[in-house]
Amino acid sequence: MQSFPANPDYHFLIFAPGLDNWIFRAARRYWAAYRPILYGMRTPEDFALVGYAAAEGRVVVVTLAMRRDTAAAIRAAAEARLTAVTLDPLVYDTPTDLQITLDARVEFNQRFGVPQTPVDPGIQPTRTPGPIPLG
Amino acid sequence: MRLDEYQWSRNPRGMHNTGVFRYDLRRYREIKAGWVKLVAADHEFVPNIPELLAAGITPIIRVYRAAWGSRAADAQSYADIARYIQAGARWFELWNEPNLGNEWPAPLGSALDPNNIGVYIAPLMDHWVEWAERVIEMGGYPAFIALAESDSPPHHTTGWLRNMMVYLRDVHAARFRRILGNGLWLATHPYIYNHFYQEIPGGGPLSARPPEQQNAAQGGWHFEYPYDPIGQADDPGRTVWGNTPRTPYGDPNGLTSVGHAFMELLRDYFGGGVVPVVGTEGGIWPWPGPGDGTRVDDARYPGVTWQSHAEATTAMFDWIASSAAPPWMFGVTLWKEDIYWEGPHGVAPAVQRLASLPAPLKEVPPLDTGGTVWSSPLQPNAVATPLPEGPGPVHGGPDYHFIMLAPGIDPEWFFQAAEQYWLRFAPVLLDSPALIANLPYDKTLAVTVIATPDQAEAMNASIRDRWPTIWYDLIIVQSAADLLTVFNQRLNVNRRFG
Repeated sequence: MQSFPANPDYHFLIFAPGLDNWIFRAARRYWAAYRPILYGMRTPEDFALVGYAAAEGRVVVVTLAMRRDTAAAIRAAAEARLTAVTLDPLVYDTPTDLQITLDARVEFNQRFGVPQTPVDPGIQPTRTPGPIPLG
Repeated sequence: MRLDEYQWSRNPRGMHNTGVFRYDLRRYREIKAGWVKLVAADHEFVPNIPELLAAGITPIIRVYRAAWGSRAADAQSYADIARYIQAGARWFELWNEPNLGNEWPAPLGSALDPNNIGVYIAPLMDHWVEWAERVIEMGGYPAFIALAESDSPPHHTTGWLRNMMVYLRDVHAARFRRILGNGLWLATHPYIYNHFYQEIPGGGPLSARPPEQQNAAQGGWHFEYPYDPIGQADDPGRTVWGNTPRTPYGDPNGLTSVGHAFMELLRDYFGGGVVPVVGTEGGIWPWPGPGDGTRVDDARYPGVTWQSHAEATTAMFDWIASSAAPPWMFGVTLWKEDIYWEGPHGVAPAVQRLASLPAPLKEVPPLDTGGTVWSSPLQPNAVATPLPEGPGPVHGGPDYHFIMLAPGIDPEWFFQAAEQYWLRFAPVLLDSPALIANLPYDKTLAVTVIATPDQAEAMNASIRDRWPTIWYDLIIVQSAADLLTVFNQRLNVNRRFG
């Protein structure tokens, strides 16, 4: 299972070229819950904004919504340009299917579709000495 | 230089004085003016400059020279300008409407021809460049010469303007670019007839209230002629340059038309940039007396009455301050003081209407004027504007357009109201300004902020004041319906920012 950073510096939700009509239908609830930086690509290489965000070692996750017929090319373009970015690809053929997935992520509190890595609370509980080793 | 660095009141209301030696601060204050145009015989208004500035009124000085044609500025005019600058004035004009015969000495006035470059355009521009440089060196802002609005040769505004700019490009390109980068502004004379209207509530962009139902305190005004929906529906594709069979010599008759033409020529001949535009004569003109019924100069639009003139004039200034107007449109000084206060029918209703409502203030985005840094023995320490953190000044259109929801704004408002706007303009949606700092200086950015009235001040501080080079576009709303109205208005006029 792919792992995702629990608290990225930036989280983008990007729609592939030609999917602008999907955005308001599919992303409504998801955006309200997670507030990603949202835009529709103008070209298959439209990742410059992500590149500025990811400079200087900042942690960036890109949730990338694509249709099946163009997904391979767009993903290849993304991987070529965004080497230090974690990709979260979503490939669907209808906005309805994408909406179901994104809404389910909200429902299950899984921003990237997998259980979130628990955040290190920073303070470990104090172990109580006793006859049973705590391991 | 940037558009927001010009010193002025930010209040687009203005009045043209009656004539040389005529001045009445009480009247300018009565209408809550932000500009006053003072036609001066010499330095008679120098003592008045401090009190005008103290009252929040920016003076524009035109040193009057009758039928000056293309003659060089005389020594006395330079001496007078220096005294005005010493007193605190910045904005200056000298030549006036050279596309009209009465502004030239005989016999030149009867043989006007903008294509006779050697006789008309060349000496005018040669002398203007010299004057503009000296005004800047003294610390002032020089006006590009105001043309009368005409669509008839040999007076046609677009022909004169294009030939003046072509000559500058071909002969004085480097000098003009220095002027452009150090205080240039454009004076226009928008006498706009009845080229405006106010929509009927719920009636759509092609609906127009009759003059007796117009109300300055309500929205739906259109002053973008010839780009407004009624004009475009009647003659699709018409621009200030014409572009249609019905407009062979252009259509410069609108509040912002000549400003658009000038900015397009700056882009085409000098690589872009925008400069302030002030209508230094004009307004809704002509208008009828109280017993004269409705005056209709262009039958495509509602007419004007004695009373509706007051509503429309007040609304015109509010429109200039709004995001519906181009950012470079800074105001109009109405023609003229004696007509408004001493006309045959007494004080014009516009005076009372303007007095009854607070003056609007214009937010000016930090757009690049273009041009180059001044280098002169008189200003040895001139330096370019320091580069701030984040994106650079917007030059033409921005590279990126962010829409940011202020904290607490319900995202549902956006998703209910913005779909058509989104599909037209394809912005980037976010809810934090953090990303702005990561954009490099060679990229430009506009940020539309959606906020409620109580959030505006905080958003101004965190976005506009923090990032002075971005194009800041604040939308203040109190509901999803308000937001839908704003976006629909922008869509109707096909303007990303209003």
